[in-house]
Amino acid sequence: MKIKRIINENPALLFAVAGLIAPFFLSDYVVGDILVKAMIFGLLAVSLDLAWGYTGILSLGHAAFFGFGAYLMGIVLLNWSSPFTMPVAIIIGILGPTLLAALVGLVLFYTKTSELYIAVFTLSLSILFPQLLLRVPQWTGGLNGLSGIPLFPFSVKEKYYFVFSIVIVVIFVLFKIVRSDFGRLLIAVRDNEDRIRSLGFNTAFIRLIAFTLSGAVSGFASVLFPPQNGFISHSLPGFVTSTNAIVWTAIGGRGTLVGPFLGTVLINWISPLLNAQFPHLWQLFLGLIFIAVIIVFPGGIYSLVLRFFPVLKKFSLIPRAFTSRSEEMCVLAIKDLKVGYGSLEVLRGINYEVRSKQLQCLIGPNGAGKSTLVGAISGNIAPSAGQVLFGGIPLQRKSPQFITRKGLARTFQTANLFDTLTVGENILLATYRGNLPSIFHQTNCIQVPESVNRIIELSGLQDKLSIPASLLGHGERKWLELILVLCTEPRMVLLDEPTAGLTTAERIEVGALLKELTQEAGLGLLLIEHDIDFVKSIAQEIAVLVDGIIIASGSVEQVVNNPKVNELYLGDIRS
Amino acid sequence: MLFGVLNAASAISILLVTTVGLAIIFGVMGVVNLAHGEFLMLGAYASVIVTSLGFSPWLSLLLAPLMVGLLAVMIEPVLIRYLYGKTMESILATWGLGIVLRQVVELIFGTRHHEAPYPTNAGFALQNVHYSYYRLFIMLVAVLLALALIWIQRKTDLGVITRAVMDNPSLASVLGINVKRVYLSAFAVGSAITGLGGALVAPLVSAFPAMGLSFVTDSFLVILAGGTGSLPGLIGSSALLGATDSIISYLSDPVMGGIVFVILAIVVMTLRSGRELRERTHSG
Repeated sequence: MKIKRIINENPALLFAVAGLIAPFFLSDYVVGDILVKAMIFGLLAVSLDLAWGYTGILSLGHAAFFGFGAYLMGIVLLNWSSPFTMPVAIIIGILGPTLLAALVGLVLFYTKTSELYIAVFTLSLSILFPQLLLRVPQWTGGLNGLSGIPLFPFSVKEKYYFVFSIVIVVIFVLFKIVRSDFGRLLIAVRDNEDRIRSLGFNTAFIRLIAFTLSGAVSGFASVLFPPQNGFISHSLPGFVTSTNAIVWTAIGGRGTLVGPFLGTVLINWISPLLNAQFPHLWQLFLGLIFIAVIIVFPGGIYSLVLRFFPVLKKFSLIPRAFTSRSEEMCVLAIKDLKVGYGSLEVLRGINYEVRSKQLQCLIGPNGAGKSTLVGAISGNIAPSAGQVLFGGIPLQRKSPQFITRKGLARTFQTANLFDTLTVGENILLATYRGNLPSIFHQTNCIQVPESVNRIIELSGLQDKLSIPASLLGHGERKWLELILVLCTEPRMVLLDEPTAGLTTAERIEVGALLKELTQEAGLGLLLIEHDIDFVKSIAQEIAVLVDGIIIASGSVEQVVNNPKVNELYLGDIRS
Repeated sequence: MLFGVLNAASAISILLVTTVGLAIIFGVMGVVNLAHGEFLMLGAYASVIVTSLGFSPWLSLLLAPLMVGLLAVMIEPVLIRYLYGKTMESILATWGLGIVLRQVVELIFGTRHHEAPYPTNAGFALQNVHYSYYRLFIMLVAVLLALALIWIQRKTDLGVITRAVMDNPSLASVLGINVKRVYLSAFAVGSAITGLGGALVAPLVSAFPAMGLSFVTDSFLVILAGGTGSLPGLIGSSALLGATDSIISYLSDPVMGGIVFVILAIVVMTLRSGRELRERTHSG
């Protein structure tokens, strides 16, 4: 029974067994030449999968890292002979790509980053890198490449099992990583960068770690290649290898580690046969399969295998006290805040205060600038002038993660979640409050603050911890987002239309709960709302935003009876 | 000195005629066409075919855009239609399209280089170097193309419709604009211009299956640096990057030129990013 359970959780083991016995059924040529080389390229695909499949960094130039390491190793082996040559060559061959990936990552993730930008930059890397190699022929051999590199001093089977065991170790370690809490964080970054920043995480740094790790795995592939091939040419780090790696990874099934590896081995195994039978046509066919996979079958081949082994992750919740960071009064002070786009001023000088233990509401017609105000406070929009002080700390022009870590969190108008992660994993990531989770440990018991636990029970989500967030209904998504934000244990929360799209009954529940949070946890809440009756029933203070200016603020009574407010906003409701 | 200026102007115009088509597709549809280099390659091969049949190279400047545009009209409904506004999927799928187009051309023509004849060999001597009138002709085409597109965008109904679709496709469709047709036309026109670009540069570089690669990254870097949806921005970044590339290539070598090209594009992008971030957040 136990074996069955282990296989069910790791179907990859079946393939590992197949790989273990394969040499006894295949010819020496297939085992020693084709399969060993295929496994090395498989590691390259695995490294690409870590960057692309898990973290969403599509690198069109991954072969540059692979080729860089291979060249470094070749240069050391050919130019230096001493007892330490081999270990030094291996270390340099792995370190080189790791550092190059870190450098590229620094440039990519700390400047203006986007999917297109990353794709174009890495594509230029794969085109420029081989040209750079040609520029230093004294080291790289120029167009002739490096030849005469000593081969593996092993028999065919020894060589196979040597490379095979390295593959197993690398994939095993990577499995630990991608299934750890850190691995969940990588997927979260891929799925929804805005949300992960608003939970207090530094996404640039997380991507940098993932990309550097991916470079290191490429390094493992690159130090295996020269002793297998004996020869390196300047086209190895180039466009063709990079393209192949992407095709193999996509067809194999990205985001699974094993899929890209198996895809690579399979394609490299059958390609020589089919290339001989149908020159050009086979490559053309691979291109067509690739397009088909991208458009209609993004999971690739391995997703078919995984379909037979569904894994249900179970989570349990452990309530604990709300660790309020400070019992003191805390004030969010907005001073003369302006936001403009060119000549258009959306916020024309906002002066307002939100205090802890209070529930304050911001109302106003469509287009008044309500969401812009929340964005300008939370760091998603850069203000053109003015100050935002939170407990005396200036927040204007700070990043969303900085602001969240200071204890000021926000929700979005449309619920913003990590769709491919389960509800439990969503909550788990939020409880890390922006701290980097363990890279090996996998948590299944989530500690949540007592009051948050009650919200989870009230929302009915405690029975749905194992299902992906994408399957939740609209109301449940709103609940979950509120839960995520509260898990960061903020001192103040900006809620952008928390009840939009909820039923009246749900609204009443939410309202009671929010009020309770301000009392028990000492939270300060600023709600953006449309529903004036709902606002009247819960708010201690109301502010009215019209045309980028707060025209009135104060107690519910004061504001509702303010003639200016009635003229500009509420008038039509009362008449 | 004059020679250097002419070279820079030539580099800028080549950059512009090989980029504008891509910018139209990306700007209007939000589709990243990584097969752009292959469309250029097809334009160059069209020119090779036309001239090898015995027709004038001038005629190929007319037929190449037509052939590539027609191909685009066929590809749009079976592939591009599924990619509207999806950056990641469009990068990958058009990457695959590029692989397929390269393989098809390799299957038919092999991997060897095909020379395309210059439409005119006439030129003038400059500091004892022959300078072809054809390069001046490319500059003229670049200028006319830029002026025509600016005029269409600013002064015609077509320009207004296109900008409406770029701004908000769902709203535009509610207003009775056939968004799908606008997309199809944008893809066809963008590809046709790319085909023209390919035919224009064919005599300078000769045609081979992988020829598009050196163009595609340059084109995308120009677009990233110049911003999307702005023709003057595109012209500005073409000028800056093209001129720098040609100067560095002259002083050092083309590889250094290529590296400086990438770095400069990143610098320009980063300098612009603050402004664009705010604009994007506003529209979103």
